[in-house]
Formats: sequence, C-alpha cells, structure tokens
Amino acid sequence: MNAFTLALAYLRERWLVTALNALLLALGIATIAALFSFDHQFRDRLSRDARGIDLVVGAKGSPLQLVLSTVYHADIPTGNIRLSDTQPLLGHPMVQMAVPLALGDSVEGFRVVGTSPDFLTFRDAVVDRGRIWDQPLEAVLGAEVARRLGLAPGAELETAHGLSERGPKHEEHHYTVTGILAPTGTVMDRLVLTSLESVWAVHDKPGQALQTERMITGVLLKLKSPIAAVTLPAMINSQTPMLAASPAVETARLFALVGSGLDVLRGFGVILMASAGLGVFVALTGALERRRLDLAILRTLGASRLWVAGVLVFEGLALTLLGTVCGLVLGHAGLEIVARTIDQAGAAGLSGLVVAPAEAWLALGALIIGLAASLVPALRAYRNDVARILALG
Amino acid sequence: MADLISIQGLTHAYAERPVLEIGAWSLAAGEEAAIAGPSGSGKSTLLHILAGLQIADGGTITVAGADWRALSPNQRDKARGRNIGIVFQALHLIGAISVRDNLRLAQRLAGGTGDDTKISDLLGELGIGSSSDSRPFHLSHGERPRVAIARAVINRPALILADEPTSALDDDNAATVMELLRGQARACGASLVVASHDRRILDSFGSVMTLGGAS
Repeated sequence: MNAFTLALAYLRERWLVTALNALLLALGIATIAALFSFDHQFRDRLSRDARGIDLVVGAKGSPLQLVLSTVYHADIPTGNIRLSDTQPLLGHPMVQMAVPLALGDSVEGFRVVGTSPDFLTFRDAVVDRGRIWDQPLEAVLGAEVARRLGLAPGAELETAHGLSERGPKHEEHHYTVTGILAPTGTVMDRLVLTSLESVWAVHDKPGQALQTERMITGVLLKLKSPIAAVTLPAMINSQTPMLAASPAVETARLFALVGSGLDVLRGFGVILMASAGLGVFVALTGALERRRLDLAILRTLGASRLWVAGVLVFEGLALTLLGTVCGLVLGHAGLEIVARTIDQAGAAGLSGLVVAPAEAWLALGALIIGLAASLVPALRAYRNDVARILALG
Repeated sequence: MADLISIQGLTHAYAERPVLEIGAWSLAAGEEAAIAGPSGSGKSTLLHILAGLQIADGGTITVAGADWRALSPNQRDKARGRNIGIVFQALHLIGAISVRDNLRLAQRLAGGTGDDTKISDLLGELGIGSSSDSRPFHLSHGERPRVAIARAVINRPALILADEPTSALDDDNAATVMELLRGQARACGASLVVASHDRRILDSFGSVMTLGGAS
C-alpha cells in the first residue's frame, strides 16, 4: 500500500464518478486521436499515391480534378484529349517517362485504366500471379480488386460504362484476367489495368468505321529535372489545348482545403479535453473536501505533507491516464468502424490500427492537463491544518 | 523509569484566548494517564500537541526523547509514525481500503514494510481476524474500534493516544475497548494517554490530569 495504490483505491471507491470523468476526457482524446490518425493516413496515402508523378497532362478544366481523377482515381476526369496532341511529350527532352491513361469504365466500382505496360514500372507495381496483358481485352487486376471480386487469372469480367457500379454494361465485350498485381498499399490495388486498345475496342461501335483520332484521358509524366517542372507546364498550358497540373501543388491545395475542416474538428476536441481537465479538477477538489479527514488521518499515521499531496496528484494522473487510454482506444475503434462500414473510407486504406506520431504528444498533453488539474487540490492538501481538521471532526 | 512524556511550562491559545496552561507534567514509559475536563477544556489540543500535530505556543514538550519544536515538519511526521499510535473518537478508518490495507498503510507510513503475518496475528488477537479483507464500513459497531486500536498499535509505538475512545459506546463496548487498549499498550510496553470526560473510564485511571480551560 503506497500513495499510488491508495489513489487507485479512492478512484475505485467512487467508480461511477471516476468512469464519467474518464469518459469525458476519453471523448476529447478520441476525437483528436481519430483526427490525427485520419490526417496522418490521408497525407501518407496521398503522398504514396502520387510518388514518382511529376506532372499530369489532360483536358483543360480544374487542375485539382485532373490530379484527383488521374493520380488518385477519386474524381471524374476533366475530359478527353487527342492522343496525337500528347505525342510531342513522349519524346520531349525534359520528359524521362510518359504513360498514357484512358479512363471512363469500371468493374463493380473499381476503375478500369487503359494504359501501357510502362504504367507498372511507373508506379512500382509487379505482377504477383499470372502475366501482364499482351492482347486486346486482357486485364491485370490490383490486389484488392482480385480479393474483393474473388477473381484469379483466367477469370472473365464485364466492364460498365462510367465510374458508377450501376453504369450500363459493355455486355458484348468480356475481359480475361491474365494477372494479379502484388499489393502496393496504394491506389494501384484498386485498379483494373488493360491496354489502351482494349478501352478503345470496347467503345468502338460495331459497324462504324474506326475512329481515326484516338482519345485518351491524360498522360502521367516523370520529368528529368526540377527545372522541367517549372518550364514544361507553362509551355503545355500556353501552347497546347491541354492542361498540365502538378500533383504536389494540387495535393498541397487539397490539404489546405481539408485541413481547415480538420482544424475545426480538432478545436472541438480541444474544447472537450479542456472541459475534461476542468472535470478532473472539480472531481479532485470534491474528493479533497470529502477526504479532508482521511488525509488528516494519514498525517497522524506519519505521512508527510508531500505524501498526502502525492495521493491527489496520483489520483489526477491515474484518472487522466485512464481517460487517455480509453480515448485512444475509442478513437481508433471509431476509425476502424468507419473504415469497415463506409466503403470509400475502407477503399482509401483508412484503418483504425494506424497510430499517428502526434498522438504521443496528445497523450502527453492530456497527462499535463491531469497534472495541472490536480496541482491546486494537491497544494491545498499539502497546506491542510491537520489539528484543525481533526478538531472540527 | 525514564519519562516518556515531559511537559514544562506549556501554554497555548486560540486567537489570543488561552486554552492550555500546564506548568509541569510527565509520564513514565509504560505508564498510563487520563486527561479529563469538560468540552473545550483543551483535551484534544493537548493530545495534538503530544502527537506533534500542533506546536504549542510556549513551553517544552518532549515525547519519546524528541522535542517536537526542534524537529522539522518531516522529522515530526516520521517520529509520529514510528513512536505514536492514535485512536480517535470517530475512529476515522480509511473507508476506501480493507482492514488489512488500513494496517499495511500504517506500517508503510511508519517506515516499515507491510508485514502480513504481524497484521494477521494482531487482528486475530483482537478477535477480528475473519474481517481482515472487509472494508471498514462493512464491519459491525463493535468491530470498528478494534480495527482503530489495531492500526494504532501495529507499529508497537512507545505512546498510544486515545481521544474520547468510549464516548459513543455503551457500557459493555466501552469496557471492552478500554480493556483492549490497556492490553495492547501493555503488550507493546507503551504508555497510554486517554483524553475523556467519560466518568466510566476516568475512574479506572490512577493518574488523571484535569484541565479546566486556562483563564
């Protein structure tokens, strides 16, 4: 039996008050922890998905929309561009690698990307089972697509027009799965890859003459130098009918847009935490009043002033620790529930198991709040006039 | 036998109203004494001064060889834990912990380690061995004073102070409590000082210091 175990005994004795105070703190911690983890995963995911892509070229429109649709596969494309317009880019001296993309179809909500085999090199993806496509209407599936749809090499699949699961089917064309990609932890896991020719073949009307001008959605570029990242977009935007957008710049814009919303929620969490700190203070002040005699008795048994004050500090810290642990568990459990119940959140790779480094500071901050809230009652306990308390009974 | 308590010229006042004036008083080690007087006569104040919980305005008070005034607050706390056991009228057991933990706490605060065998033996001796894991508020009216006595004597103090230990008890329980207090004081070789205005027990003391309130 020491000051800490006695503090725990006091917390157990009034378990309902303890639980309510811990819950109040836990709600604040959970809100902020979930936001920290979400923010961390969101940034990490966006950064991984855009890795290696210096520039995206597509139809004129919103640069953010172009980046979202061609890099993150999270928005509708800005439109189509002529393949011939992109030809000068392919051999441009500033371009290290260029990969065309043709979007617009999907399989059960997973987007079909018509592209060249270089796309796999570009995105650091490798075929885990089977082989890459080499004939029209052959497709390679991202790891999650294969898992969710239960498909393996040799299986057939039917695409739908548009990006919705309810889009009209291209019933006359069936793809054959030739390979499955190894998991990458990026948007690649959720794509169905095929050749540009396959996408065009699916959209060519039977009986009609082949289109002489092939269209694509965009081109992903890896540039040779940082200078190219400045000069090439300016050139494309001013001298061609296309739009060049930098994923880095557009992602920063996206963070700024989303960040302000997160800041509001974070502020709400801070208010909850501050309220909880006040709750701990009120609980300990009340405890001090109720236990004035107990604390005086401890002094008669030989406890020093510091020891008695320590009981209240430990009580505040233990209460805060309980609230913090519960809050972290609650926050991550909430995030996991969101990831499992909302398809888009799960699809974006959101998980309740990812702990953001900032959460360590959150826990430390909570403990400091608990310590601060317990200091005033502890100081009062330290200064208690034992003889007077005993005399008053 | 050497004096365990020695008081010389003790004076104490509350808000300039004198409550205690004792010229000289002493108690030998192993002896017992009662402090009598009506309410407000300073009995509890004297016990607090003897326990080092309060420092008298004037005079010299030595208990178990220690002059309270000469000790720092921390030294007083340690000396009190080691040398003095106190039984209060309202008992003031710590309700959040078990009987055994109340005694363990007293051991630890006196600088010892929790000696469970000693605790079990003592509780058995006082007839409450089966209640050691109960919380104090689960005990009967007759058991609680025994726990308070056990807590006061667990460290084998040199001095046991009891403040109105029988005032809320019926004759039988009052006699039992006094018998246990005396028995434990004898077993520890401790001096016993009981402050009371209960005639049932004052008459049983050979040495009674009567306080009338300083004027």
